[in-house]
Amino acid sequence: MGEEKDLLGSLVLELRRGALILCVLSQMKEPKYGYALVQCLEEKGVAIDPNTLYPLLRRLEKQRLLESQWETGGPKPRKYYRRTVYGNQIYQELKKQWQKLSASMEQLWEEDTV
Amino acid sequence: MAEAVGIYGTVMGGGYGLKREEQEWMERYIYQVVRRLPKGQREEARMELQELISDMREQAASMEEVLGKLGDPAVFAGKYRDDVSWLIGPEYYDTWSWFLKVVLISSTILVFVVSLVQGMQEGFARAGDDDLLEAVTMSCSMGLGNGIAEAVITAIGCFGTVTFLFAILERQKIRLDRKQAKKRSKPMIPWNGQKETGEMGRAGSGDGRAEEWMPEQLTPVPHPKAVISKGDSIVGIVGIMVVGILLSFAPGIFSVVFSVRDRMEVIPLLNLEQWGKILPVMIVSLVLGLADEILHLVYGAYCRVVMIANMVSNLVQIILAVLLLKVFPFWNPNLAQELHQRIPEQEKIAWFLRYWNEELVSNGILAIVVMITVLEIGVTVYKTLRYGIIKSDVIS
Repeated sequence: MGEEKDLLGSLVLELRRGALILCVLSQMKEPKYGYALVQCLEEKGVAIDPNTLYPLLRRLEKQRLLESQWETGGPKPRKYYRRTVYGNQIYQELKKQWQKLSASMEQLWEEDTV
Repeated sequence: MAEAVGIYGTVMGGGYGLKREEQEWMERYIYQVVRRLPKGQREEARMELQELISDMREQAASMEEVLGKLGDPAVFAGKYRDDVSWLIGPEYYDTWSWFLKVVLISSTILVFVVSLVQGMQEGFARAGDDDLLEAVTMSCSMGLGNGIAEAVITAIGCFGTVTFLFAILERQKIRLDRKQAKKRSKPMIPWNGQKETGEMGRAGSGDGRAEEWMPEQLTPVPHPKAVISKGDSIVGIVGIMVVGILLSFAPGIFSVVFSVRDRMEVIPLLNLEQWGKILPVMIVSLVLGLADEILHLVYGAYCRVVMIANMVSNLVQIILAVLLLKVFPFWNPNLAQELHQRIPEQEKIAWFLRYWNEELVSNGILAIVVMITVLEIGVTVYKTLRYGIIKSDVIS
């Protein structure tokens, strides 16, 4: 039973890995800081651990999909992220791919239930 | 890129509205994460974590809850690091595993045999000439002990060295293919929907070069009878290396041994005085054999290249064998003289010399060498022409 749970857990993790990138990119049109993004995604039903999100934001920044800026004007310094122009292009492309995949999956499931 | 400002000192003074104790816990956690990161990333990560933890604290009941949710700092740091977190990745695993097996098997057997012989020689020397039984026991135990110990040390060393070299290859992304297929490189297109780039998060993250594989690289599937067993090739390689090492470092083991009143008399059969001339020729012959075996291992099946290489290598080996046994002073010229001087029991010498005839032995060995070599060429040519891959690789 434990093994089954482990396997399911790792498969779900694998499934979520790519989707999370799309989730994050989708929220970054306007500048957001890390924890606000965690809350924002959580409200929309996408749970993401901060220890996954922060490294992911960094990686996306390194890939030039996001850019960041420290805001020091408020009560505490915050690092805001937003999509770059390149990030916008890639996000739109990814969205199309997702929609295509999603439509194919729907079709596969329909056939499966018949 | 982020514009990090030097606000760290002022913030830690309580800028996040945390209690002193909570501040301490936060600092401890952050320290445990950033100390595991490359120096260049530390300051930025420290600031990010301060922001995150203080934000989370506002929503949570306690700092303990926050840190518990963030989890093990080592795992957190691991996610931050963007370098590879494995020693040998899937791309190199197969080659590493194959290469390691060959190196481990050949080197440990080689070292075992050489150390066994050395240990035995030492054992004989230590036991003295008085007791034959003691000498044999001492020699066997020292030989085995030495052989096993050296083989284990060699195996560990080889494992480490091969793995280390592959870890470097992995990090430098150097391709090491067994079959040197035609390879072309072109820049990888990041995020191209048509391309599978492995782990999503790493797509386009690094060096940005991927090798393009072409279907023309596909070689025909060999006929089962044309497949050359890897095991046979490895046995061949080990055998050649063992003989090479023995001939280079211990040609004295090819000797005639007589026991004379509980004493061992060892008289070399080979011409050790001229060994400096004989050895290079033998080494050339062995290297040719070794190259042939390595080629078998690399190609894995009979094909035109394997056949031609095998014919050339074997024919040259026959010529070298004739040269060694018929032209060079291969045998110990003073054998009879030394026997008469050192063995008092003349009947033993007479018995030995009745059977020992240099001409006859040379011819016998030569006949065996020629027979084996011709047989090998015959088998290779037959298998290549009958089952091997001799047509062009391209599917017509």
